[in-house]
Amino acid sequence: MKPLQLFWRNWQNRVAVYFLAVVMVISAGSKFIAAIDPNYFDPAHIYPVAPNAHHWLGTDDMGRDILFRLIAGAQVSFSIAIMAVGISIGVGVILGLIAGYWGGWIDACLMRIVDFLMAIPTIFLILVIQSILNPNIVTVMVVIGLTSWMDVCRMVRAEVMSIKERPFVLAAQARGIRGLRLILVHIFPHTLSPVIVAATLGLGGAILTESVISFLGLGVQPPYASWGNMLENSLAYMNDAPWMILSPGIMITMTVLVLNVIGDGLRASLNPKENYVKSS
Amino acid sequence: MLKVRDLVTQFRVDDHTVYAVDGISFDVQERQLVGLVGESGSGKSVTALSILNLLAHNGRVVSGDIEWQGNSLRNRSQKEWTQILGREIGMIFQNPQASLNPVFTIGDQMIETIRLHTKCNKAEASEKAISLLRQVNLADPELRMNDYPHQLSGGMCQRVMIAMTLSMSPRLLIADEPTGALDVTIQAQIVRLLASLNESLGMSVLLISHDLGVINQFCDYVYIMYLGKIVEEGPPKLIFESPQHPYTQALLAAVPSVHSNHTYSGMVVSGEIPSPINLPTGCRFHPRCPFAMDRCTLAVPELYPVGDGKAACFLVESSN
Amino acid sequence: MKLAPGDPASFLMDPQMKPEAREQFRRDWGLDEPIPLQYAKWLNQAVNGNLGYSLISHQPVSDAIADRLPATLLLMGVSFALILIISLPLGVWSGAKKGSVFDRITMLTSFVGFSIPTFWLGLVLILIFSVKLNWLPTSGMQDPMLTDAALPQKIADIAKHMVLPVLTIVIGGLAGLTRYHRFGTIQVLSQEYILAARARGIPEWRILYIHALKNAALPLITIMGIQLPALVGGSFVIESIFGWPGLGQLGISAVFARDYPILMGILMMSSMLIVVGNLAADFCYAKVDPRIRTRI
Repeated sequence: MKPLQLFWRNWQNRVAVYFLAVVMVISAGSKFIAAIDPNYFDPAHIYPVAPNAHHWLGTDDMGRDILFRLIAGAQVSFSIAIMAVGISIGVGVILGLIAGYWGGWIDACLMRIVDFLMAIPTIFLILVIQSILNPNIVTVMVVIGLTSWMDVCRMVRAEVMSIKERPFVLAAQARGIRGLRLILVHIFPHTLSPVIVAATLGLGGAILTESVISFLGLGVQPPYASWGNMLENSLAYMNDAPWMILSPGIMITMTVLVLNVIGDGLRASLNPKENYVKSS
Repeated sequence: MLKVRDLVTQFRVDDHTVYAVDGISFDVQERQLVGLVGESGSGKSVTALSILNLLAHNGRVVSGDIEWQGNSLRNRSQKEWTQILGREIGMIFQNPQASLNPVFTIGDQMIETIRLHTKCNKAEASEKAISLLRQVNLADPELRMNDYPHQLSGGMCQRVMIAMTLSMSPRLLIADEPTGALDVTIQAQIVRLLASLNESLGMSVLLISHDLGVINQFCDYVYIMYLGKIVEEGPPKLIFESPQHPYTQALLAAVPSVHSNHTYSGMVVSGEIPSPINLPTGCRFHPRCPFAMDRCTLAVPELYPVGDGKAACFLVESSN
Repeated sequence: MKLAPGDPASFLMDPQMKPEAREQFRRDWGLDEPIPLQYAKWLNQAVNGNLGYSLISHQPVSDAIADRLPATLLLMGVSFALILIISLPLGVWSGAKKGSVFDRITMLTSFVGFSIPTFWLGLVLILIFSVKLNWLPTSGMQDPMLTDAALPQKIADIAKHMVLPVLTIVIGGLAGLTRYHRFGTIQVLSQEYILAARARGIPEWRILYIHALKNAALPLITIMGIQLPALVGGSFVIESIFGWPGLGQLGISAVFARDYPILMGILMMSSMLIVVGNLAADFCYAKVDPRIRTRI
């Protein structure tokens, strides 16, 4: 059976994909509906209002509608996650291919850099960098991307090292194919399935990271809404406005959960025989 | 002593049901050394695991009866099984190094097994372990007790496995390809050890193997399996000198024989062993059989008596 | 750097200060030099054991870290121990009963636990147990009213303050490890030596908790090493939410104050913790796995 068919046969995977699709369509479509303005507030109510018929999920401390901010925040959070994962996969794959294919001192140097970066608590490193920079959406993307490529790099390197000894690569070399063409045409495609799985799981990880740094005020800055920065002031209003805490966190959890389900489902259907012990 | 009747074992693999063992019957008598022969995938190991209730989660015995000393072994409780396993029926496996837990010493594992089945303290158990290891001709048993499995060779590990099984003095030992992973010279030693234990202790042995030479030399009675069915049975003399079933003939022909001057050089089996997911109809051997008739594709031949043995082939039926 | 709003000088100084005084201040603290030079100087000093002084409290960085380290070690030590103690039997049991109701529930819960932002979990726990139920203190490590109390009372007080942060870290860290244990157990149970042990009539509980456990625990040691940075980073955020007076809280407040000497010190300290943790993991692995022991 083809991997995608295998993937689609599992009802959990289907539910996850549908959920993700609905969230994405709503957040993208909301731009065209003028009534949905995440930054609108009623000057008479600059304080949190409990959920009611008008504001389904209540309003935040500035009197802005939480549901609208969630919808707008989905777009920001997803864009950041996709760009960050793009950067981390790009860097990780390229460096992994280089290290795995050429080996020798290049490999040794790259792996020491990876070891070094992996010994730093990532969140803390990101916070330090963000505090030096002027935090905005772009820096959040780039910084998350550049601090999360190490796992992908190691994985691709290991794959390349085993693929490069396989008969079909040796056969291609015997036909005189070498260098970039050998890497891109004969080696790289075989690393794709673990990379796809890593990318899916990476999206969830990036959403979580974004939410932490935005929560601490060093990520996405107002007036933009992100699921993380919606929680920024919630601690102060905990007693009076618990709804400010609940809905963004539930959205984050559901979305990350769904991405993990999809990632796990992809892994299972791309390598049906693997026991997937290495799940992260 | 052990009586298996119409045993059927099935496995669930994805959406398919695989009949790994499909209605086989055989006996092991007191003090006998019985051989079970077949290619890999023929269901020999599954037969052994079915008898001992050790099938993986997706496998189960669907029908048939397994009788041990006159009592059925089917539907026994977990507790009863701990009494039967090892003490009544012992088993050794194909890959001796993988059969020993890599993170415990030989001594740990032997002492655990001994103390599980006899009441004694550690020192006594350790003494008994050493004497058992000596009994299976393991060199320097005292030193080996502190070794880990990876420090021993495959042959040494198999001796340890045999010693461990002996410590529980089972009435029957099932040896599943006990020499499959060993060097040729070691293979002979291990089989000779099993045969001598069969002789000296009166322990019955069910020897599962694809090594026809070994089977011919040591067994009292032989069963030949093909794709979950027994195709021929009989004393080794009969099987090896006048094989009746075309599959047995093909097996013998495939052996580059040293001793035997019976060569069935004309018999070369074509094709691969079919997938058990997609079994051929009728006689399971017909797609590869040079003598296949129309009838073979439709009906399943029974075991027809030939001399002291039996063979499941329409050729045998018609010749009688 | 100078254009960025995050110049420590602007944070420290009185906004009314005259520009000349501001320059003077920068020069005194070496903030006018190029960053690579600042870093080289810091590194040179760090090697000699001098991590510099906090830009805010003027306390030596090494003292500030030493003050905060015990609280962090206490919190992380207790949390890690609990994570290990709970995840091991949970994972082994659900791996052994693969496909059962227990296994399904455990896996579902761990999937959810895996996806919850830990800091948000902390917020929700505060909301439920401190704000709504008023059972446990919201933040800090000790009640200031109890500074003169007897030792047992103090210990009880600290324990009470620890419940929520520990719970948060444990729930966050439990999911991943339980899954690892489960997969490890499933793999080990399919090995031939388990079949052979069953064939010897060894009871199921011994198979699971003696034969399988030791093997299944091996990869765990390396995984602990790999997960350590994430756990350390995560607990930093948790510390700052719960006002736990440890390295994490110090670090997060230093981020906002742009107190670079402190930040560098903490980065170094936490990386060192992680490196030491990894070394300890390798050491344990070699101790437990006889196959590696003989190779060394």
